[in-house]
Amino acid sequence: MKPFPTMRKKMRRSKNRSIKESPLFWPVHWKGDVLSVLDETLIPRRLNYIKVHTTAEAVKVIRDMKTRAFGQFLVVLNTFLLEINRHKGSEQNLVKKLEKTARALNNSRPTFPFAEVTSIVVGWARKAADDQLNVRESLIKNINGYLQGIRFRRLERVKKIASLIKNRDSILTHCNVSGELAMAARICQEEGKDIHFFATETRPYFQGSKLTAWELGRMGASVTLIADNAVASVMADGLVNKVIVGSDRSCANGDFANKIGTYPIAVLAKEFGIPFYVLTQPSNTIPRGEDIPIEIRQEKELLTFNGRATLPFKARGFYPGFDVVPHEFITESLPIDVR
Amino acid sequence: MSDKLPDHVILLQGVFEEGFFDRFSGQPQDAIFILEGRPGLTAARSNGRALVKRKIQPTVLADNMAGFLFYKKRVKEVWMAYQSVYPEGAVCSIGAMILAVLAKKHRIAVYLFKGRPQPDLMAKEKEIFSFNGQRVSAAGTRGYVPLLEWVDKKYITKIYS
Repeated sequence: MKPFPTMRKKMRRSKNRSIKESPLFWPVHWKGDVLSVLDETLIPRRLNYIKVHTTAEAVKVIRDMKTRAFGQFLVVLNTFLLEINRHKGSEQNLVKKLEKTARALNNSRPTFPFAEVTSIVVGWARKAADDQLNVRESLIKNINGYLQGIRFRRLERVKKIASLIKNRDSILTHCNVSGELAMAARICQEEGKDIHFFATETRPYFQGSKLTAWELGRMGASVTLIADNAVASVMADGLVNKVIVGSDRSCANGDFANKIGTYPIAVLAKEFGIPFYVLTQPSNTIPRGEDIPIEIRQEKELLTFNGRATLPFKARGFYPGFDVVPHEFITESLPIDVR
Repeated sequence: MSDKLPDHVILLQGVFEEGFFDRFSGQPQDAIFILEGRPGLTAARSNGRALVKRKIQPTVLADNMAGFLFYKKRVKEVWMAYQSVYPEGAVCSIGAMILAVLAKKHRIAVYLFKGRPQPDLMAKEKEIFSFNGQRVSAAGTRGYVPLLEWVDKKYITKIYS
């Protein structure tokens, strides 16, 4: 399959070299005592990091979608470190403070399983207090170790994605999978695979145009941007032979939620016999997809852009943030267990 | 708006002729959902204006949002504009096939009506590089912007010519 001219770059290098990272792979860093969160809404115009000093500011960057997907996960864990660093009182008060931090983070957005992540940290804090350990030191060690473990498993998954992609594959992706697909594309190039990507633009925030096409291009991958309404066309015309997407929340039965627009892609992939792969974080707290709380965002986010109305008449809008995809549409899940 | 989502949504796809909208008198106002129609939002602009003129306020969806309504079992019918019909199917605006396949999966009727002429098969790739006057993609990105697609007759319930 060679639907579009590809940029075949045979960069056969040592297989032992480190994987080139996308800025979206780990979009949260420490600058001294301050958390630096990559403002994904400004990409591709510039790489700008927002300084986060407090839990309230962390909630705001999540709620305003300055960061999303894996970035949210990093913000949550690092916000606990932020509060631990700022804490001046007793160990018992620290546990209470972290419980309060967890509640604030849990309420930031409804679909991503914030409570599953925060409950891990709060559980560590309570156990350390019960065991009369130094809560602060224990938590810093646990959170950093946990993050290192997640990082390692994500890098392993990048390699797995790369092994899934075969020579002359043409892959459709939707929204953005926080660096992993772009990094896998880089590995494929280094292995001499001739591959191509189609990225949906992903209205209304254009994560596909702004993030996915940008980071794939940055990695030297061949990518073509399409409007969200062209996904059936590229499948029907045989221009794609694999679909790879991310996910925001998984259920016990394998159903998952991902960016709005994922469900039609899954249904179409099945209709056209195209394998559908999803990167997941398994969870058993929600039994099935119908039970996932789907965030409905404000209609103005759909009906205005760049400060101006998109339509010349007064309209109502409906903006569900996520789709649920039943497990029967999944060819294979590529999981990272973060529990 | 999720709690207020109507139970019986009619989804409009493509750009319809002006006279088509006269049939909407008597429909509950919240039942008409229109899709944006990237790249130019021509469908939302044209269909929306025609509906507002008839004192019907439509609800706008981005092109990737219709699946949510199907999943929630809120879609009653899909009405799509066609460019030309043949014994084996019809040429419709881009995005029609998505709704056709979703409708088949959910056993929803798909009705086709004559659309406003759309002579171009493709748009220039630059049309998806910006939105509402702002660049949304990185320099050097390539685009593929089909404007029409084929819908096989197996997905179509009835064609009104």
